[in-house]
Amino acid sequence: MSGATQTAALPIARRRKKIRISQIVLVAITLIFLVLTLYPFFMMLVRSVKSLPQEMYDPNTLTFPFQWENFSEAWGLIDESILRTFGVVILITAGLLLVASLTAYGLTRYRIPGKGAIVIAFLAVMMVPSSLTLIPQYQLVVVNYGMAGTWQGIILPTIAGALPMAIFLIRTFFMGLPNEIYEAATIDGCSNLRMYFSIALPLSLPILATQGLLTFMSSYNDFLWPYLIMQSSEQYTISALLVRLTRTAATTQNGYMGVTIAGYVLASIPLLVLFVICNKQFVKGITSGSFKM
Amino acid sequence: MREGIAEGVPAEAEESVQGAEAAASSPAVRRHGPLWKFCFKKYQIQGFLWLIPAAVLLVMFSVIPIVWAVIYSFTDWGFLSTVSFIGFENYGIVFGDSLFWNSLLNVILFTVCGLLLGNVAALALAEMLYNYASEKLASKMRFGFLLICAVPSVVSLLVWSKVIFLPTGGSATGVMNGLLGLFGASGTDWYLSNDPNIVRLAIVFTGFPFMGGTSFLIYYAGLQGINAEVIEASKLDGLGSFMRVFRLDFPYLRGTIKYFLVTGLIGGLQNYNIQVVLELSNEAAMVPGYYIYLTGLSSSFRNDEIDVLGGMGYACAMGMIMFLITLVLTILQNVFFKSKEDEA
Repeated sequence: MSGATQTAALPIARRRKKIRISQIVLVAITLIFLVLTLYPFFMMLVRSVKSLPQEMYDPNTLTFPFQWENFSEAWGLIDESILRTFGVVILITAGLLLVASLTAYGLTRYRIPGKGAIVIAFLAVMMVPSSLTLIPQYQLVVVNYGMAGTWQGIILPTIAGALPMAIFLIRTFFMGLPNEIYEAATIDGCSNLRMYFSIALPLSLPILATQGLLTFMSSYNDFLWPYLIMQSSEQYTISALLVRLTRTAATTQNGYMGVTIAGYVLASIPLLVLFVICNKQFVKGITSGSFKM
Repeated sequence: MREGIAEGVPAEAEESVQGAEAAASSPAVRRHGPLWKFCFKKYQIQGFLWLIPAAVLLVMFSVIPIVWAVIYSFTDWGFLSTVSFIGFENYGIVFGDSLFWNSLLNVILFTVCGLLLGNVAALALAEMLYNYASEKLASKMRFGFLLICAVPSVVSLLVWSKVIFLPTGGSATGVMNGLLGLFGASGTDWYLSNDPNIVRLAIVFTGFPFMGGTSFLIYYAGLQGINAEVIEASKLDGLGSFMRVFRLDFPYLRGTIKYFLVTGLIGGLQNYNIQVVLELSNEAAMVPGYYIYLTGLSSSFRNDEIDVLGGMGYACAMGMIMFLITLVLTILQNVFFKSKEDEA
């Protein structure tokens, strides 16, 4: 503790030097951890370009020449699935944002009887663990609604699962919008539907973008529900298909993993691109406190 | 303290919520004439129209499954063609089911280890970045650690199982077994090992060094919220930067840490991601979520040690017990938080 007072007494030049050394150590330690964090994914890249003999004799080092054909072969296996996943994920994101913002608007702009109870009911649904509801939900969607193997069988339950949280977030944001804007619009003869589209939605673009980004990523990642609902690998979304390809690699590829791992790389690219573009939005959304409730 | 970390946004918003609701529900309008007319004056029933889409979706896909789960936990729904009520029989079987209780112990172990390791790592990373002299460099590093978020979670699990923790006996050697080989040790089968402790070790260490992800971001943002004058004052009082971490930063982040521990505990108890993706159904790796999933949905899975009348009914009963456990934890957490906040 007395170290700080001592350094304060030192000549400025020496103080600067001391700071720099501790900074170098700090950066070095962070770099080591960064390398450790990224290492599995670096190995994924290394493994994705290995041929069968390279994989058998030199699995853990970089080997030349690269077998780029793995990527074209993997793309042939997953191309349809990636496109399908984009369709499903975009519909989920758009549907969730629409339904959640409609609900949030109704809850903030109207005097509804039992509003507090409704909000608590949303929270209560959110609290129930998915392991309790998974089995009845599966039976209901597959047997009673007959949605097995359909897009709506994935889309609608996923939206329903993410709704309470999204309503909560967007509602909090809507309540922060000043009432005077709505009053002015009402005086100008603006209908509620119009106010929703031309006041509430445009003003809450930041929260909608954040929620949309997170929904997009989590539904792209979702493996279990599409795996259960879709009945063959021709219908799987990408995460489910990757798991299936990995499980069947022992028979279809004779245990050779190069093509499958190239598939992992290809499947990671869309989210990576999205993340690099939306990095700032993502960081802001996570740290704004809105996700901590 | 928590409000400070969250930049004041949720706290203020929360207050205004309660304020608005109190104003709406206060009996400011005096009742004249018939009840329905009164209702239309005081309330805006047409507001319900906005809630219809969400209500339909939630009832169809969330509420009915909850109701079914409760009802069917008292039946032999599953292997038989008819469904009949069997009272508390399923619950009685759960209490004698050693696999269920072992899986509960497993999930507690995984969750507690994961929470400790994950939060220590996230805090350490946030502290390191916070102490960077150059903000530019810190934001570059932050980007590097966040890159992991962009990798699909399934891919990340598959990479750990097919590249790092690859078992012996396959055509290729995994990274960990290769590393052990460098030290002259023989490799093991990790996730598929016969030794339960190695299986558990592999599961706990999946994701090492636990720094990628978003929780460090929230800690980092919390640290950035510390008033510069407070830090200046601590320097004048002769607090070194190492001591500052423990004396100033950690107390300041206490609310965030508590929040992560509580939500992590509740979420972790339900988690069975790694089990379902890697099909880890041996007893050492089993967790309740996956046991429920297998009992209710997998036709090939039977636990021969217990005599269950119906798979799905039994799965619902186990789900109910997990639900009760999380409910108790949530209530405890609320009581705990409330009393702590009153003290402060």
